[in-house]
Amino acid sequence: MSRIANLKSFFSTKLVSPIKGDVVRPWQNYQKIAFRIAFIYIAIMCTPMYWNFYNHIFSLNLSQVTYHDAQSIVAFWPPQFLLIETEEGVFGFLNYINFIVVLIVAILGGILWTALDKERKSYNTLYYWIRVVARYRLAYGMIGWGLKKIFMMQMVLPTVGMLNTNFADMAEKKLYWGHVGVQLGYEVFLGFGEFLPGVLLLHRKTAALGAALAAVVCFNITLANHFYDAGVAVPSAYFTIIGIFIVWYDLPRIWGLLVKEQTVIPINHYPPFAIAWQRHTRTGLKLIGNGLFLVLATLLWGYGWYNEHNNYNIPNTPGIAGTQGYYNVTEYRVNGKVIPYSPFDTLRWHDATFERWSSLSYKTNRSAEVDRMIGYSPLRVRGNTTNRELNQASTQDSNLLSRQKRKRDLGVTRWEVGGMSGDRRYFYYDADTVNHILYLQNKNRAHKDEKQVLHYSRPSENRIILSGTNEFNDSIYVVLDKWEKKYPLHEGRRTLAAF
Amino acid sequence: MYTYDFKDDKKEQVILPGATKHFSFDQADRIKNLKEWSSIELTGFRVLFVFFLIQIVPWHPAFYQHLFSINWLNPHFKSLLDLVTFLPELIPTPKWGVWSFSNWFIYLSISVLVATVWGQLDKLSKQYYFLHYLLRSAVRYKLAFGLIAYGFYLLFQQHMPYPSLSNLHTNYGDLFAWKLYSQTTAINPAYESFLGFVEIFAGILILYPKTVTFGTGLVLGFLGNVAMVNLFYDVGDHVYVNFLLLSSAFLFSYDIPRLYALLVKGTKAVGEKYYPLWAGRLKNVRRFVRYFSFIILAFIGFRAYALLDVPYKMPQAPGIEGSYGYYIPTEFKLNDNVIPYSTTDPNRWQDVIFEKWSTISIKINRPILLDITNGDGVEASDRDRNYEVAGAGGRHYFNYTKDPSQNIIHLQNKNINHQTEKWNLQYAFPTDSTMVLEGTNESHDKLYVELLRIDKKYFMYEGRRGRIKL
Repeated sequence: MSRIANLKSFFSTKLVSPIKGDVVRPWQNYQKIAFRIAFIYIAIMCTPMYWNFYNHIFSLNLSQVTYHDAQSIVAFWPPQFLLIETEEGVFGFLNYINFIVVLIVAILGGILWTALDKERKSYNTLYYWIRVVARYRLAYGMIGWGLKKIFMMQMVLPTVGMLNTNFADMAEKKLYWGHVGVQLGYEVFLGFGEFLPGVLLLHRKTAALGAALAAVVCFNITLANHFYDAGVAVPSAYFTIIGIFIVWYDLPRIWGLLVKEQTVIPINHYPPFAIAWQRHTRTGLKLIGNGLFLVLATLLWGYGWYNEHNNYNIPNTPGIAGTQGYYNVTEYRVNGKVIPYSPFDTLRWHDATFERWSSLSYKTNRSAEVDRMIGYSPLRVRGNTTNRELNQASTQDSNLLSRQKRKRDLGVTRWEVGGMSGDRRYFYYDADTVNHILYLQNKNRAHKDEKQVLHYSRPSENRIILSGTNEFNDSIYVVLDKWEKKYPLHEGRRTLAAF
Repeated sequence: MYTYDFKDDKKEQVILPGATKHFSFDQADRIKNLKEWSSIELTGFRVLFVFFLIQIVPWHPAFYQHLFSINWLNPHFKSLLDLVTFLPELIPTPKWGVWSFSNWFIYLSISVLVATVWGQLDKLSKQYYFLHYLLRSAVRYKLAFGLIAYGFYLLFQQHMPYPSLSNLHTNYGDLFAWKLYSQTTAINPAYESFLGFVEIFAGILILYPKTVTFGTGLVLGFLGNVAMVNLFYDVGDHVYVNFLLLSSAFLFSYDIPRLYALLVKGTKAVGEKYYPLWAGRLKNVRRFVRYFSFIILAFIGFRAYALLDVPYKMPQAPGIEGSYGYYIPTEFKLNDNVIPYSTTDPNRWQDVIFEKWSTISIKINRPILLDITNGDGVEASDRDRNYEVAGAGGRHYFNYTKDPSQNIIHLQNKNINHQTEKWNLQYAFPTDSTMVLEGTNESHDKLYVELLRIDKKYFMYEGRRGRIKL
C-alpha cells in the first residue's frame, strides 16, 4: 500500500451492521444536498475564526499557564464576521446574523459541491468525521464551562458589600449570577450539568445522550442569558446548535423506536482502524486531547481554586485580620469638623465594610460611573476596539497583572464592583501593618485615580479608627463600630429567628 | 427491570386473546407470546405498584375535605393546584430534613409487606403486563396533571409574582435564600413563563403513551434542577418534587433497555410494546378519560389566566392615590421629640415605601421575627396576603385601610409575628413630593413624620450597556 493510501485508510469508514451480508445503501438526493450544507456549516462553526485565538496559543508561556488559558482555548467564540453593537452588547440578539452569514456561505458552498460531485452515492465517512469534530468541540467546551462552576469560581459567595446593598441596586446579570453564588452546592450541581454531558460526548456510544443533554442545558442558558443580559447568549446558542447536529444522527432511529414502536436495527459507519499504527494514532490523539482539556484543565482549575490563591472573582491579598464585617460610622470628621449622619450627605460615610481580603467599601449619597462588566465574559473577539468602556476584550486583567508581577487584585474587581450601584465605593488597600497605615485605591476603573492614605487603629476588637487624607485631599477622622449582623440569607428559614 | 423481549419476533401488535369485548384479568395473565418475568422483576413490580398507588389513589380523607371545601362555582386556581398535586400524608412530618420524607418510608414499608403477602398468594402469575400498563397510566396521569398545573402556575406568573418595590429595596443579605431565588426569577416574567411552558409541553408529551419517554426525559433534567433548588434554597416543595422525579424516572426506565440496545450496544432494538386491547365500551371509557383530562386541564389553565393581572399573592386594594414611591423621612418626632437621622436608633424611620396597593414598609433598626412561610396561601383579605413579607427582612410591613373622609389610615403590621402593632395615622400632601404623617403607634406614642419622595434610579432598570452614573 502506498503511503497516501495508507493515510487515507485511517479516515475511511466501514459498514457496521447486525444484518449479515448488509451493503452500504445510497443516499437520497435531498439527503446529500442537506449533508453538504450541514457539513460546511458545522466545519466553519467548529473552527476558531479570529486571529486572537491563534495569537493566544502561539504566545502561551508554558511556565505560566493557568486555567484561563485552558478556558480561552476551549471556549472560543462562534465566527464573528459582522460585529454589531447593540443595547445587549456584542453578543446581543443581532449577533445571530453571524449564524445566518455562515448558513449562506454553507448553502453556496453546498450548491457548488453538488455541481462538482455528482457521482457520489453517500457521505458516510465525511458524516462520521464531522461528527467527531463537533463532538470534541462541544465536549471540551462543556467541560471547560462546567469546571468553572465545579470549582465555584464563575459565581462566588456575596461579599459583605453585596449583602448590604439593595436588591434593585444591582445589574440583572449580577442578580442572576448572584442567586447561584449564594448556594455554592447548587453551583457545583450546575457545573456537573455541563461537565457530564461533556464527558459523555467524548465517548461514541454515549455521545447521543451527551449531545441531547448539552443541547437542552445550553438552550436554557441561551434564554437565561438573553433575559438577564448575562453576555454569552449567542455562544450558548452556538453550543445548542452543535448539540442538535450531533443528536440529529440518532433522532430518526429514536423516533422510530419509541414513537412508531418499530424494531430498529442500527447501521453505522465506523473507521475500522485495522492497522496497528492507526489504532495507536487514534489512542494517542484521544490521550492528548483528553489529557489536555479534561485532565490538565481540571488540574489547572483545581489549582486556581485551591486556597483561593487565583480565583478570578476574589482578591487574594488578605485583609487586616479580624476586621471582616459590616460597620456603623459612629463619628465622622472632615478637617476637624464633626458631620452628623444624613442619608443625603455626599461625603460622609453612611456605613463601611471590610472583607476577608484587602477591601474597604463605604456608602455615600454620591454617584459614580458604574462598571458594567461582571465576572469573566469577554465580549470582544476581534482585537482591540475604540469603544473600550462599553465592552472590553480582556476582562481578565488579574491574570495579566500577576504575570507582570503587578498587583493582581486591582484586576479582580469584576465581582466586587461590577454590576453594583456606584454609591457604594470599593477601595483596594495595601496595609502597612507596622506603622498601621492603609494605602487605598478605588477599585472602580472609571475612578481609579481616587486614592486615600489612612492611618488605622483598633482600640477594641470591634472598633476601628481611621484618620488621614481622603481622595479629595481633605483630612478625615472616622470611627467605625462593627455591627454584629446576622443575615437571613445565611441563617436560613428553618427556625423562627429575629433579625 | 422491565425488558420486554418478545419471544417471537413478529412486528404486529400483541393482541390479547379473548380480550375483544371485556377485559379479563385472568386471561391477560395467560398470554402465550409474552416473556415471563424473573422473580426479581415480579417482586420489584409488586412493591412499586403498591408504593405508587398508595400515593396516587385518593384514599385520604383530607383529599375529600379539600375537594368539598372548594367553591366549584368559582374555584380558585391555587385550590385546584393543591387538589391536583395532593399527596396523602399518613403522619404529620417535619418540614425539613430527611424526616420530611417519613411518609415515604412508611409507604415503602407497607409496599414491601403487601408485596410479600401478594407474592405468597399469587404464585401463578408469571408476569404483570396488564397491571404494569395500568400502573404506568396512573403514574402518567398523576405526573402530567401535576406538571401541567404547575406549568400554568409559572406560565401566568403566579408562582413567583413580580417583587414589590419594598422587596426590591431590601438588602441582598436580608432575604431568605428561597426568596432571593424566587425574586431573581420573577424579575424576568417572560423567563418564568418559559419555564411554565416547558412543564406544560412535557406534561402533554407524557399524556400520550408514545411520547412519554420524550416528556419524561425532558422533565428528568428540569425536575432534577427543581429538586436541587429545593434542596439548596429551602423552597419547601421537596417531597412533592421528588415524587414527580421518581414518577418520571419510573416511566423513563421503561425505554432504557431499548435505548441502550440502540445507542450503546448497537444491536437490534425492539420497539413493540404491550398494549391491552381496548374494545367496545372500554374504548369509549379510555377516550372519555383522555378528553375529560384535557377539559379539566384547560379549565385549570383558565383559572390561572384569570389571575394574570391580579396576582393572588399580592394585595389588591389600591393604596393612597399618588403615594406610590420611595421616601426619606426628613423630620421625625416621637412624642414631640425630634430624632435626627440615624441607622441605629430603634425608633427612627430610615425610609418608607408606599406600594401601589395598600401596604407601606418602613426601615427601622428594630429586630424582626421573620415570616418563615412561603406566603402562598389563598387569602381573601389583603392583610393576610403575606408573600411580600414572607422571607424578607430589613423592613417592617404594614397593611392599611383608608378612611378617605378624614385622610386617616389604620395600619396593622403584616408580619404574623408582629400583628399586635396597630397604628393610626393622618396623612397630608403639602407638596407633590412631600407627605406628612401624624398619629399614634401601638404604644400610643405620638408620631410626626415628614416624608420626602426620592426619585431613585435603580441599576436593575437602567438598561444594559450605556454609560451611566448611579
